[in-house]
Amino acid sequence: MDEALWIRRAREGDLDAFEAIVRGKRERVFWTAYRIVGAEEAAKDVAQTVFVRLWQNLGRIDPDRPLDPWLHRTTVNLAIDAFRRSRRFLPLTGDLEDRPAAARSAAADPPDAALARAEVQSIFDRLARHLTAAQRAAFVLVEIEGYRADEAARTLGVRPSTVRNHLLNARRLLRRRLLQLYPEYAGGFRRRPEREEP
Amino acid sequence: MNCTTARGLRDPYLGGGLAPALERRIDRHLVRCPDCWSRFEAADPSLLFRGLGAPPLPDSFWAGFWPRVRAAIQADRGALPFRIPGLRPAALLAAGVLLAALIVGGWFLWPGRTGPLPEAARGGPSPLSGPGSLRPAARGLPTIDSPPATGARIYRFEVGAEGELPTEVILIFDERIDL
Repeated sequence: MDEALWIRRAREGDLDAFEAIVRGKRERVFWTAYRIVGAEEAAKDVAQTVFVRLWQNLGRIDPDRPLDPWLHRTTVNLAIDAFRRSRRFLPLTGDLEDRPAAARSAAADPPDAALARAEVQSIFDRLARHLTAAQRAAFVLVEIEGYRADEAARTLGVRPSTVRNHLLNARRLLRRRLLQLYPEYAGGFRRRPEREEP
Repeated sequence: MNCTTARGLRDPYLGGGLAPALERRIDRHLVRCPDCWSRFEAADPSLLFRGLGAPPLPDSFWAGFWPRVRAAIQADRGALPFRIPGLRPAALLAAGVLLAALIVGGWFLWPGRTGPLPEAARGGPSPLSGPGSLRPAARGLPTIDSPPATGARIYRFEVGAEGELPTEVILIFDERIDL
């Protein structure tokens, strides 16, 4: 059954149809939220809120148009809000935390790939905590999810040049921290001693 | 800065070995030059994170997710604004009417204010101490009594159709009234 039909049935109050939509979209929503928020439970909360908002807005959504852009925009904006709230309470330093989402994803991957992914995910989670919400969202959308800068700009409600600036700053910070803390992942670059981090 | 200069500085730029002012000049060039942007991007160590993607999660990860979404939906379902056509505009209209009524009421009843009544329509100060001894107001326009001894304000007006016995309404405002 196609997406438009599920949406039409859900608009008529069919919860089974809505559950089918949730099942089909939940992973993508979760991962987008997780990349920006950086915490599993917070990302699940964001995903839950996204789907409740979807239910509330079904009447305004055109069933004949793809649902993904609306879902993606809503997820990114809610995740940015959640990340901003979480930064008020979480310290920016500390050891690597246990990353259940990355670890659990290992169950579905070949062991080596899963381990490598979990390790890179942990490094990203640690380093990306130092980014601003806008830098982090721009990096996630363009570098990890593969959107063009102009597409990311539309999602974030800013100009493409602003996204590129956020990207440059995000890359610079991630690059420096990577060279400092994980030089083995820096692809041959070595940190210059005169540019030590404060 | 031109492309040749920028590309010559690529490795020290990516390695963090340039002065901040020079880094900013390269940044400005990169934002304007898609070709250099691509060349720098291809060698950036932060490319490491490009492979993160969205790996599939096991079903156990989602245990309890749909029940929580469903519970939130059912809690919200009482409103269901999109399933009752016209409900939302009607609710907005009702809210607007209520707000207008509050503004008009506040305009008349704000402490210390006598209202935009013509002087002749006001009943003037009254020695009255209770509603039982109030003088009946003229029909159509409210009157106001301000007993000087108490500081209370008393509004009186009548309602009812022409030719029928009017109903007198008395509103007493005094901040010392304790219900």
